Parts: sequence; structure tokens; C-alpha cells
Amino acid sequence: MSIEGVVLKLPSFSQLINPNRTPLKFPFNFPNSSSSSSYSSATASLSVPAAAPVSLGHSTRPDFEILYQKVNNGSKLVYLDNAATSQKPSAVIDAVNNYYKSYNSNVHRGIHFLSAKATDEYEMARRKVASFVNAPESSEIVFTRNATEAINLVAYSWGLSNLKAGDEIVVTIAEHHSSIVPWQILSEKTGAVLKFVSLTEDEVPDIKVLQDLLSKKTKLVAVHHVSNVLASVLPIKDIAQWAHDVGARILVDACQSVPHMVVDVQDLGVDFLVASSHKMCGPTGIGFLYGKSELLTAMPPFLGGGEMISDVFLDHSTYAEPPSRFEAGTPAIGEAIGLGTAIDYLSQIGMQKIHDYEVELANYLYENLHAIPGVRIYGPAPSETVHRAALCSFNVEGLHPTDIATFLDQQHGVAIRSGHHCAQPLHRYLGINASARASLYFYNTKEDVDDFIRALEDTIAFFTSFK
Amino acid sequence: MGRKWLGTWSPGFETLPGDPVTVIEYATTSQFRVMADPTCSIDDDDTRLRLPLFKPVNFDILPSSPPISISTNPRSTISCSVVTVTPVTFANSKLQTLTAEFNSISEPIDRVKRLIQYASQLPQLDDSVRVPANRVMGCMAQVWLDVRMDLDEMMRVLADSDSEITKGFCSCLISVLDGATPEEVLGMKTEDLGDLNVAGLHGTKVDSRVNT
Repeated sequence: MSIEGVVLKLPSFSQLINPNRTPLKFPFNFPNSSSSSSYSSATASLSVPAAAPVSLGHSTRPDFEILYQKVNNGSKLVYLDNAATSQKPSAVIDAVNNYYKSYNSNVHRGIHFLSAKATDEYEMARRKVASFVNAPESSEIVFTRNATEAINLVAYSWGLSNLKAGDEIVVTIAEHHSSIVPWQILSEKTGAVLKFVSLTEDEVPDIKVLQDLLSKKTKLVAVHHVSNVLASVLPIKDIAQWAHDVGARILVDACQSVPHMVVDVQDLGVDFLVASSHKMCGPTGIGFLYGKSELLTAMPPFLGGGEMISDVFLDHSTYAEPPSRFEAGTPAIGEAIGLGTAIDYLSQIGMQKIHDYEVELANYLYENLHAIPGVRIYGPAPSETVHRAALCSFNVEGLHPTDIATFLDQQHGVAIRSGHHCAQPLHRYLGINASARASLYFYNTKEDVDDFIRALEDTIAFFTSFK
Repeated sequence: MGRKWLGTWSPGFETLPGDPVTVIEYATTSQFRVMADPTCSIDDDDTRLRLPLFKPVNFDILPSSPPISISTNPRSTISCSVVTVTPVTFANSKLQTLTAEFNSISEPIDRVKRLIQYASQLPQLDDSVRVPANRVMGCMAQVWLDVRMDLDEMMRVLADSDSEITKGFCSCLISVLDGATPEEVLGMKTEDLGDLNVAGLHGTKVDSRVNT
């Protein structure tokens, strides 16, 4: 059921009674057209203040009920682990619930009412993904379990039939394991060679080295768009051009970019692009591969089974056209629909607006973190020309990141990550065993950053007192 | 070595003078497990184990050990705090003591402080021990573990970590296992050590994903 007109959206009641919360703002929201959205409303009567600029963090926060809880010793949750996974707005949770409550049915198989509706919604979600990344056709979007599976799909399906001994695959030393290990497996199977691009002194992948590594032997360039550790952004459009110049294909790991900025696969000129739903306000268990039509059409299947076939005989089978060819078995239907709703939600805000806000947050985080003595942040320093993503991987001299993260969580309710963030080669290259990482999303606020900084200072003081 | 397991010894035991006793295993405040060499005689009566008198020499007293009362003959008792003992201690009871200690600390921050104090008790490991072969894999922090059996067939454990909290856990582990028999170490299960998680740091080692 869709609601027309402007709705005055009031902050949740917990926001009213918590004195630590920022002053009340009254954001106006146009409801989206998806199945249902829930709006929290305050029970007290309030007067509308003069229009003050509302930060995106404050205006969107009420959509994320999970952020309003207390953890451990009664501290309010400060969730700064968004590069690991994002929280979901009520609209997405409701969409998945509604699917199961109202029209759950297997897709592409039946002709009855529920099945038709489920298929419609599922395919609508595919069109939403295509439109979100500006893919020319929705058939160029293959639903997978996540980005990791999407990369494996390319490695097994495209890689095995296109690479031979002596061919080269170029990746950077800062890739996530999901874009290193499948290529290692592929290299082992085909005899192809994996080449790694090192970092500059500013701790970004050295694109000069990358250019030098490209040759006629290069068949694939696999790079991240935004680094989950260094917070750096690669010039994908240029890299794609250079790859094509030597006759190579390019695969882009867009897990940390699609959720945070405008990503246009046609403008970038990429051959393959992968992303995961759970990092962009969507459910876990669903992700996608964008692949150019002509590439997908020539690729053999990845997994075999139902859905991806055309005809099945005893001694052979014929296969369906993409994207079905790569979607064996019953898909994560509700989750795909949830992803579609997440895309609606993000589009309603506007990816450019999200990006601009996050640049602001990124600078605020970096400046404040950098100012603490003994803190070492990895990746490039932000500047006019260098925009960092809204995350900082860092170490504090003399402290182990695990100790920092444990204390932050236990004493202050601050959730960050510690470890190697699925980037062991990068950590080895930087000469460290592990790092701590705080990563933000558009529903975080400057106050979240302030809480984190205060908590970190307290943590450092605590551990230092023992020395 | 010819040790014989004689049974549990409660205060008020009767002994006969003269014969040597080798080992006393300190378990709780009121019970000892006693081993003696094969030359001693054993009474068939369970409640009145006739124990040869040992020559009191040296006993490692822990700050928390109570005085040991040993009867030397049917009619008199000697309060003896000096006894020869090989360093065999009851690992499970040490674990219980440790668990009780952490349970009694109500504030999580005080538990962390206690852990860090335990960490500071660990001797600095030689660099020769901090080698890849000694790494415990699958931990977010680096942990090095060196386990050997000493001449008395007891387990000797050395450990270190680059994380203070993990080092504290190592120190706790060592306080329980160092000097235990191989059987005791083998007899301990991960779940038993799960009691150490009462330190209020839920499953930091056990649950965290290897690849984070």
C-alpha cells in the first residue's frame, strides 16, 4: 500500500528522552513506493523549530532501529563497522517480511498468482540493480550469494575458458582476499601468472607500476574501486582504458564503492563489476555480478542444476541464456527483493548526496583521529585532490588493535573491527600484523565520531597506565 | 620411578614411623593425594591407610596453601609445613580457583585490569621461542606457545602474545597448566577453559572469525 503526500516524520521516542542525542530535528520525507514503510512517531507534542540544516546522519538515523540500543555495560551502541556490514532500514526489513507474509513462492517456475507476483518482484529487483549501476540491460545482472561468489563465478566460468599458461592476471597488493584467492586457484589450474601492484609512499596502489605491468600477456586486471583498509579510490575509468588497450578485461570489486557513491558501469567502461547487498543496506545472502552481454553470452555455466538449463537429456543438457545460465537453483528471492528496496531507499536519498556527506564525515574522522598522539592511520592523507572513503584503519603505538577494540566495545559500546580485514598481503606489506578499523555510513553522525574519539582516548589512557 | 597410588588422604591419617614417603599432591585444603614408593605397606582398611613416615625435607609453600597436618603415629600429630614434594598440582582445582577469582570481580573493567596484572606476571619470552613454529594459528592476536615435558614428566608451559589481554589469558592458562601432569592437560576440554571467559570478554579467542 503506498501513501501519497508529504509525511511529517518525527524522531523516535528514545531520541526524545535521551539527553545525549542531538537536538531534535524534523526531517521531511517523501515515502517511497515500495510495499510498506514504518514511521516511528513521538508521543509527546512538539513544536516545529525554525528550519535548521539537518545532517544526513540525523535525518536517516530513525530508520535504523538497531542503532538505538544499549550494549554491554549499558553504553549506547556506536556502530562504526560499516565496511564489514551495513545496517538495514525498516523499509528493507519490512519488504523481506512482506514477501514471506504475502507472496512467497518459487520464481520462474509456476504460473499461479503467488508465483507470478514473486517472479515479478524478483525481476523488478534485478532491473533496479541494473538501473542503479547504469547497466544497459537487466540481463547483464547476475544475482549471486555475494561479491565473493560473483568473483568466483568469473574465475571459474570466464577464467577457465579464457586463460592459458603464461597469461597474466594483474591485481593490487591491497585486494580483499576474495579478489586474490580465486585468481590464485585459477592460476594453479591454468598456469596463468598472478602479478601484484605495490603501493606508493602515500600508501595507494601505484598506478604507474600497474601500467608498467600491463602487456600483451595480460588477460585480466582485477582491482578494487575503494579500498576497505586504505580508504583510497582508484581511477577505474583510466585503468579500464589501459587494460583494454592491451586486450585485457577488467573486473572491479565495487563492494566499498557502490554503497557510497554513484557507480556507472558504462561510464567506467568495466567488463565485470561485483558488489554485495549487505554492505548497501540490503540483506545478507545476495549480491550481484555485472557482466557485459557479449562476455556473459560466451561463458559456460558455473553451477549446474535447475533454472540454468534449457533442455535436459540423459547424456547432455543445453543451457539457458544469461543471466539464468548463472543462477542455478532457487535463488534468495526475498533477499533480492530486499536489495531492490534498499536501492529504492538509497536512490531516494541520492547517491551524490550520500557521497558528499561521507566526504565530510571522512575528513572529520581523519582529522580527529590523526590528532591523537601515537595514532598511525593507513592510506593517503585527504586533500583537495585525494578523497578518502569514510573509514580509517589505524594502529596505536604500543597497543594491540584487539585490545583497543575489546576495550572500546566493553567500556564504551563502540563497535570497530580489529584484525587484517581480509587483507593479509596488504598488512604484511605495511609491516603490521593487524590493525583497527572504524568505518562509517550515511547514518553515522559527527557525534558518533566524537564518541569514538573520546572512547579511544580513554582506552589509550587505560592501557598506558599499566606501562 | 615406581610410584604407587595410595588413595586420598584426609587430615588425621595414621602413619607408622620410619618409612619414607615420596610425594604429596596438594589438592584442596583438606585432601591430599598421596603417593609413596613401593616399600611402604598398605592397610586393607580404606579409612586407615598406614603410611610410612617420611623424612620431612622441603615443601614449596604457595602463599595460599594451608599448613599440612600429618600424623606420625597413632597417638600424635605433627603440624608440618615442610615436606618434600615434586611440583605436581591439581590443575582442575587451580582452574576453579581462577574462575572463582574472576567471578568475584563484578566490574568488567576490573576484570580487564586483573587480566593485565596476570599478563605482567608472565616472564618475557626469549625471541627464540617467538617463532612461527610456536604460533597458535587462528587468533586475532599473535600467540606463541612452548610446551615441554620436564624431567619429572610434568608439563611446562611458556606463552606470550602481542596483545595484553590475550597475554593475560595466556598467563591464566599457564597458572593452571604449568606443572600439571600430561594426563591432566589431556583431560582438560575447551569447555572447561571456557570458564575463563567469565573475565567478561566473551569468546574473544574462541569465536572470532579466523580471517578477520
